[in-house]
Amino acid sequence: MHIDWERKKSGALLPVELKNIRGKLIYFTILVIVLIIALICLVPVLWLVITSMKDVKEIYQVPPTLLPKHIDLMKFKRVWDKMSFFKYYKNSFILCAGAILADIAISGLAGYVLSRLRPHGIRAVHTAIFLTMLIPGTVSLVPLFKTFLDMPIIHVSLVDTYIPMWLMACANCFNILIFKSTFDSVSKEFIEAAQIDGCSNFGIFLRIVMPLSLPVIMVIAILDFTGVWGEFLYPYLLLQNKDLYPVAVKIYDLKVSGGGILLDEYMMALFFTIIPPVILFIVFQKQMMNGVSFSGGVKG
Amino acid sequence: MKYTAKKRKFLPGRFMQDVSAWVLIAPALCALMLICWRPIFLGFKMAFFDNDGLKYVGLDNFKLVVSDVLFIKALKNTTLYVVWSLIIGMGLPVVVAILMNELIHATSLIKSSLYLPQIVPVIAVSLLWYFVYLPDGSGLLNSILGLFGLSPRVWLQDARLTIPLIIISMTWRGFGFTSILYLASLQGINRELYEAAAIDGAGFLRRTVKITIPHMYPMIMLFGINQIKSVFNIMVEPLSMTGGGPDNASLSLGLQSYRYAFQYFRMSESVALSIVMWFIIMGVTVIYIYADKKLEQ
Repeated sequence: MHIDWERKKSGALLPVELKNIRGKLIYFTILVIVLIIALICLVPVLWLVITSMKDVKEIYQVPPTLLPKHIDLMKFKRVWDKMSFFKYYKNSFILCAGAILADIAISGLAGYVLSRLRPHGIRAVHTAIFLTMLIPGTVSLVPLFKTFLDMPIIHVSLVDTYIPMWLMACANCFNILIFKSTFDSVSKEFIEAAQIDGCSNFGIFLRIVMPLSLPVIMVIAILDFTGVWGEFLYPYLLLQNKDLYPVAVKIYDLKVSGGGILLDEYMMALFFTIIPPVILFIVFQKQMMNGVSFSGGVKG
Repeated sequence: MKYTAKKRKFLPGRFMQDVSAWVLIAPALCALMLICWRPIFLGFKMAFFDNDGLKYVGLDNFKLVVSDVLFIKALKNTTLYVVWSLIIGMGLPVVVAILMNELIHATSLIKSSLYLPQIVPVIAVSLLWYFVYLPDGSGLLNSILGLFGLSPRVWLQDARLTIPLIIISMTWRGFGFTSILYLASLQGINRELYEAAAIDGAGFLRRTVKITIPHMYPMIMLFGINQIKSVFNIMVEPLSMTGGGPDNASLSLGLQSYRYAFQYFRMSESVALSIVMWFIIMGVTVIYIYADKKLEQ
């Protein structure tokens, strides 16, 4: 087997060293170790899928079977229907869609003002947003809960609505700063040309800045989706009507309240909880990996 | 290309521009006020009033919370969570990143596998690992024991194991993502440094210790403090995996604060406890930054 070691651009081992047997030995040891670690990342999820397809008797069998004895794909449909998962999926998707739209519209506008318009006094806002990221949010759990029970000024309770989660999606300092740094790199000429044509500030945002930043907006939308899909605590505390539960809350509720659900069925329900973000990840891997670099940029 | 704002003089035309700009940022500021800023002030106010929010009680809530029999237990457990997370979760991503940085095979496959657990929601990770740790023959760990003919044992229900096991589940979710962040920074190291070290006769290990790790050091310190902060506030994981048991062996301060608020409905005491936590974590951060400065000298 011939390997082109010159492809190796990073790392402490140099291509020259990898041509002798000692270097190769080190390299392949590292490869095996890392592959095992990567496998450990996958094993619990794979085990969940496999076990959920066994029946309860087989799960408890000693010694355990590696693969289910017979694969029954209809079981997915049966469990899906039994727990009326469609309802919870719908709830989760509404929750996510609202949060994504709210976040992109409102944080996007804030980022645009911070980056481009910079009115008098914006510096203080910028600093405040930056400092907010550093303050741990623990103290706000109970006050926030109380706020949603009785909103200030209008005195309305937001219990049993998704509005609290959407509002929380808007107040995302991290995304505001990401939008700002993205809009910073939009070429000035486009904006000046639009200004000369008499475009308003909002028009420039909508027609020029946003379309030019589409790749970043997509990454933010994907990250929002995976984040909100898994949001547990606030929906759990604020939704009293169980029919409104998103999937992530339903799965916890199933564990606590049980309700005649067998172990294998529960595992399958957990699989249903995991699968939408995972599919999204598989499809948009490239974009999300690029997202790593900009999240690292803001943090570090 | 960076857009830099110049100092502007006050002009009437600019004034209208400024007003329209403030209108556009107003929704975000309202949301931040409602969600981020107001609750902090509200929290500090609540902690000094009784649970109905009517009577000023001074430091009574704080005294009550700190003198609770479970406070010391929860504080000790929370410290254990942090210590275990540093033992299990701090070095691992550093090692994985260093090793991955050497590879030219299967790199995108490995990266995807490492990233994947991060995509799984926290609550689902907790429940997934709850199944991995199931005490009868059905759990993954006991199945593995079963393959070797060993009899099943209890995991999360063992008071000595429960904290490290919860930390392992959290590490599983997070370490790969952290490795990828480290890796991105490692790929910026100048190859010539390693070449020079190789000429001086330094082997792979020496090069890693003398060049790679010092390069990563600021990032390790930053992630370290972030990890301490987030693990210190741990709550959802013990809530969903053990409920704080067995016999409060996995009870954290965060969970205790949750219990005050949503099981005992003593909101003011819950906030008082979270303020105590807030000061502890601030203190730890200051010491950490100070120690970091000293070490660097």
